Amino acid sequence: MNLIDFNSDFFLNLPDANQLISRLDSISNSENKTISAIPFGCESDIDRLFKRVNSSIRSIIKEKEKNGISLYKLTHENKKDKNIELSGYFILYCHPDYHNVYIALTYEESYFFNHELKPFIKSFYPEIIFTFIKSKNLKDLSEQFKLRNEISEIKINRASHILRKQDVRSFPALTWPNTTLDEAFNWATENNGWFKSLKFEAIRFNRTITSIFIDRQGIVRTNRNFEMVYNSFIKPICKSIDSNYKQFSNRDRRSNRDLDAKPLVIEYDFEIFKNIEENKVFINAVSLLDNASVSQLHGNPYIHLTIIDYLDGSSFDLWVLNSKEIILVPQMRGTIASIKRILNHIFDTFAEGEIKDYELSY
Amino acid sequence: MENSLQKIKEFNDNYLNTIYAIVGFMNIYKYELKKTKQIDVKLFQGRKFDMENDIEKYVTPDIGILIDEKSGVIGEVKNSFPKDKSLWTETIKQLLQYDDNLIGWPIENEIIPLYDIVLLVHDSRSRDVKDYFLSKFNEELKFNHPFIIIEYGRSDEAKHFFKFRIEYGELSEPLIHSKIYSGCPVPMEKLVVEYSKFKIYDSKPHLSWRMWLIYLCMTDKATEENLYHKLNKKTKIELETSIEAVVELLRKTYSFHSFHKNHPERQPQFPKKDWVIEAILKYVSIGEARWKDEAHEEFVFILQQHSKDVKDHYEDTCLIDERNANQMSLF
Repeated sequence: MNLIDFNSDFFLNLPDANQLISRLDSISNSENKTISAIPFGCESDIDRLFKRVNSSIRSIIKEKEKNGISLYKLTHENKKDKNIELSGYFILYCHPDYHNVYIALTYEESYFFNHELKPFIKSFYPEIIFTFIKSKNLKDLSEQFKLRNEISEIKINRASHILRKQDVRSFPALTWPNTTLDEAFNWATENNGWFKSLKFEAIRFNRTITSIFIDRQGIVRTNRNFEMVYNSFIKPICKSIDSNYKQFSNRDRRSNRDLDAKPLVIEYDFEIFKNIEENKVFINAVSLLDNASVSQLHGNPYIHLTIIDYLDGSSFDLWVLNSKEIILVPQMRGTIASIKRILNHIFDTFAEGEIKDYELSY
Repeated sequence: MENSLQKIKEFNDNYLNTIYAIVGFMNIYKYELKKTKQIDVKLFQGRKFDMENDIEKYVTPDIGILIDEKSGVIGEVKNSFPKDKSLWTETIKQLLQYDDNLIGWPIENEIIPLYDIVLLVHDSRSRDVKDYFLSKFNEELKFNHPFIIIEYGRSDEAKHFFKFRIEYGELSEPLIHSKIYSGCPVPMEKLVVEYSKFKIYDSKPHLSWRMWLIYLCMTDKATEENLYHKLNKKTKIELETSIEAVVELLRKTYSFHSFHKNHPERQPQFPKKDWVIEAILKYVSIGEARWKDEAHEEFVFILQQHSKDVKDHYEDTCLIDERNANQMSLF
């Protein structure tokens, strides 16, 4: 099932990197196609990584390559009936400004995007990392988008939210609040929640000029005005992935002199650990990290945990030694992907804070 | 059973607290003297000193500090004391050995004319210990070197501190004495790099602690050798290694060896080989390792995911062992 017209001019004359965004913008506007983008980071050789998935039922072929843009065809054969296969094309765009940052782009239909491309890219974790958009940043991005593009109103059609500390585990809930941006984010803040994803319409002079889907991992989909959406959402997301690489690399003990780690701090602007009961809430939240062993060395009045990430063998000590900070100390191995996973988990299940460098001084 | 598990946890907690006390106390000297007087301070843990008056014997104090190559501090840390005070004489004997003119300081002739002997005691027993020592002075106890009792303990406010306060005596370094005399709080957050690094000192840790640390080292080994893949209930990673290699991994990763990188001589290797052998024997008995050779020097470690967290898993494993041993002793 080929959902894309491969003979279209776009694929026959694959654009240069500097024309790519405007060409996709034209496609989204003239052909009414939804463009889907997955920005991600990868330090490995991407071709070698992709080839790893080639099997009897799944294959990836690089069809074309031109100035930082590659066209791939991804095919998945049905296990039960080999005559049925799902295939689609996607473009891999290596961001010119940020080393190791890529965007997988497609205008194939939703089914291919959700059931093939997204799981395919995600399957390369921990070699591939996504960004993590905090609630505050998501709101800021949306507001900037509104201002820059003279949008009169943003109307939320659909939102998937999670409320923290409600239960032992948090489950996403779908809502269609039909509210404004401010109302939606105020509601999330008041209920100690966050948006897993948002779908909204941007309205200019009573006319919907685009509909945008964005999730916490930085996946963006839009049906019109792609360039506008690219500049307001995808580009900052790429920058954030680049910042993650810069901020989280070489933190582990193996990378440093005397095997001394370089810790990171999550700082809160209020005394989140003022009440000792919060220690238990925090420890329970961290313990929910999947594919990990979380050992408690101390829980009251200070917190000292050790975490082993079963996904890639990273390990960490985690400390709470004052009422406003969490300190994450990577052990011998502490990959960027694993650091991100732990920080994201804390933001998802406990509270979002500012990530800072630990000040090494006595 | 709960009590026994609690005992294992308390043992491990005491072990860590002792390490925090060693690191905290030494860092007061290191940072204060460097900050205010630009004086170089060398630190060492478990260094082997010969005794001038008994060449057959040696001591390995918990704390060793050399100040400006001229004076120093030798110390012992006691996070807990037995209830039976008659057993406290062991500590006295140990401290009296430190009062011999110790040979082995990290300078050319290995001798310094002046050093203090400190006893660091947890604040829960510091007053009792002080009274006990005072009662023994002039009887069986007389020090030629300055002897100081320092209490330590946590101080929990908006920030968490390790606090040191002089309970008895006078430190020879006036700056440090005045700093510690009425209580010197060391913010724990400023020492997290070291607290996260040092998990073994020259005293034998509980078997569960050793097994937990070896598991962590084996995970590191698998990643370093590119053998690591995602661990789940079905996957295992087999790692070929040896007792010697594990001793070295633990030493490099969790001991105080970085303190001694510029003066490694006289520094016994920790952990001891015997400590590791015990742990490997235990892994073999529970099916998490198997011997490769008859001499029991090389083995295969089977790295796997545990249903409980890894530390709890090994505490439970040791608890079962202790319970079985207790039951056997009934017959």
